[in-house]
This record gives sequence, C-alpha cells and structure tokens, in this order.
Amino acid sequence: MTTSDRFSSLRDIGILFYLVPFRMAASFLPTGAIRFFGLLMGHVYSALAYRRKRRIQQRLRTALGNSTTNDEIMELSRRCLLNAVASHVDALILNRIGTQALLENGKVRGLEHLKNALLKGKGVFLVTGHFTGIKIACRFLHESGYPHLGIVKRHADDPGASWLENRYLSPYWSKVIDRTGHAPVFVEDKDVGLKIMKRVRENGIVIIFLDVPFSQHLLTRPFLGSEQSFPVGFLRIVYATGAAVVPMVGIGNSSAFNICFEEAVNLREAARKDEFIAKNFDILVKILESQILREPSHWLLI
Amino acid sequence: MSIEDVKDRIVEVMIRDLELALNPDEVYGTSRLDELFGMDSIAITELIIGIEKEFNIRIPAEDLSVEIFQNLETLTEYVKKLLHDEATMYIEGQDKT
Repeated sequence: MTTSDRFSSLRDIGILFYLVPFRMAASFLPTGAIRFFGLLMGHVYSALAYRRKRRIQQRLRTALGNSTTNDEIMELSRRCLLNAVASHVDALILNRIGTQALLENGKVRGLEHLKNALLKGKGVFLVTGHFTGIKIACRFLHESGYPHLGIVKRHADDPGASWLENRYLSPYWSKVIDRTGHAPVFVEDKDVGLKIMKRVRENGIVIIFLDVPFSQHLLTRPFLGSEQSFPVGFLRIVYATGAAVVPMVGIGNSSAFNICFEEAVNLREAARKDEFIAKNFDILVKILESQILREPSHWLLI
Repeated sequence: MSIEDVKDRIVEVMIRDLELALNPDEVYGTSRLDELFGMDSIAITELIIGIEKEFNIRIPAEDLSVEIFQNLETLTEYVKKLLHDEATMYIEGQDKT
C-alpha cells in the first residue's frame, strides 16, 4: 500500500472537513446557511471530482443506453454529485428540524401498502437502495410509529475508498452522523439473524439495503448494464417466516423530499429454498433497477 | 419425551432443514452451534422455524437470544422446557373445563 493509498486524496480532506469543523458549525448555524454552504461545496466538489464524474458518466451511459444524449448524461452526472453532497450536508441538520416542520416539506405516498403488509402479522422487510432521502424516510418511519431495524456494517471495506476513509472516517461517520437513537445492528454480529428474526416475530420492520453486498449470502445478477453482487440472506428468512417484502424509495432532502412505499412484492412460491430465492430475487433486482432509472441522480452509489 | 429424544429430533432438523453435509455423530460432537453453521447467523433463524414445526411449538420473540443457541445442550434444554411448559398449560386448561 502506498502513502497516497493510505492518506489519499482531496476526497479524504473533504470528508474530514465535513466530519469535524463543518459538522460543529452545523450545530449552531441557521439551517438555511448550512444548505447554502452545502450547495457551494457541491459545486466545488462537482468541479474538482472529475474522475468520479467520469466514472458516473460511464455508468450512466451503460445503464441508460443510447436513448440518452451526451448532454443529458453530463447534466445527470453533475446532479449526481450535487445531490450526494446535499444529502450528506442535510444529514447534519435533519435532527434539528422538528417532525411537523419536516413533514410539511415533503410527500409520503403508498403508506397504505406498508400498513396492509403489517396487517398480515408476519413482519415486513422494507427493501430499498442508498437514495438521497433514505435518512428522512427512516426518520419518518420512526416518528410515525413504525420502529425499524437497520443493519449496518461495522467495518467499512469499500474498495473505491482510501485506507483513511475505510479505517477511520466511515466508522466515525456511522457513529456521529448515522446514529438513530438506538443501538445499531451490525452485519458482522453473530446474532444478527436472531435480532432480525426477533423483529420479524414482533411484526416489526427490517430495512434491507439491496444495493450493497452486506451479507454472507450473495447472488450476482446483471444490474444497470454490468454484473453486481447482492445480499440474499434476508430472503431465506422471508422463505422461513412468510414475512412481506415492501419496496421503498426516499429521495430529496429536508427542504423537499418524496418517500414512496410500493405495493408488497407478490412473492413466487417454490418448493425449495434456493428456487424461492432465485425466482424472487430477480424480481427484487428489477424493482431496484427501475427505482434507480426513474431517479438516477438521487442514487448515492452510482 | 426424554431429553435424548428431543436432542435426536433437533439434530434431525439441523441436518434436514439446514442441508448440512454431516452425519448425526458429527453434529453431536460439535461444542458450539456457530461452528456448525460456519458463522452463518441466518441459519439459526431457519433452525428456529424447523424446530417449531418439528415439535409444534412457538418460540416467543423475547426468548430469541444467543444463550439458547450456544450449543446443542442449551438448545435441547430450552426446547424440553418449552414442551414441558406447554404440556402443563394444556393440562391446566383441561382441568378447568
């Protein structure tokens, strides 16, 4: 590992700035000022992160095909970076905004689908991706009386990130930014399966991020024009318990957001567990793909 | 049902429902269940469902803890106790009617 790998880049400096001085300033500055600085940072990042922008453009071209013009791809990639920065900046002020004030700034659609799924009494897996509004969606669920279990990774091992980011910044980020008021469940925990099962048994909600391979059980599928590994461990629990699977998308920030719960997935039956997983997983991957293609600039992992 | 019968049926469930490529003796010889599952925490959830079907019982959510699933002995004792409690409740219910 070279020194530049260990203490990389402008990106690391940016994250360090975000996590320490900017986060501290965000605790007392007016929210409007923070959003303004966030927008400013977004434009600076968008101008400087040309390699990342190029990667995003390649990915968008592969995913969207020839139907999208070059200008549209350029504009989308710029918006991807702006939205990513805006989303991270918004995380700093989200907890300063009261629930009522927050809910007035956005729309929630399809809540009846979640309610109907819960009526079955077998628990619900909310499947989603890393969209810009996911923190708001989690806050909405929590405040609306739908406590949920979120599963996070204790040790970051993003191959695209530097050693500094994986070793220190991401865990610190999880600790100070992603805190939800209750102890998180880590994918590395020996009893993660039991904790999920317990929540499902209580007819509760478990949020599954389908777009990150946080599982010992992975399947590879074509996704947005390339191959990607996905977590499938939760589908084994669905097979065993009969829990419902409801897709959810949350986009935007605390000044304007949109949360959408889709109809529970009509899961295909199968005599064997592996067959059940394979059949239904294809359906879920297609749902995630269509969610991303509807709002590509709001998907944070592009 | 003796404690040995309960243990035998749990081992059967493990091999059948978790599709373990092991014979019963290898399962009996395992000191920790997580070694058996290769640290697969999802397998425990499948084991729970398998045991519930096998013994026609329901393991309450509040009992779902690592302690019960430490090894074959702790699991067997727990299932035996649950069976005993359910049988007692059934007899008490019959007495009342």
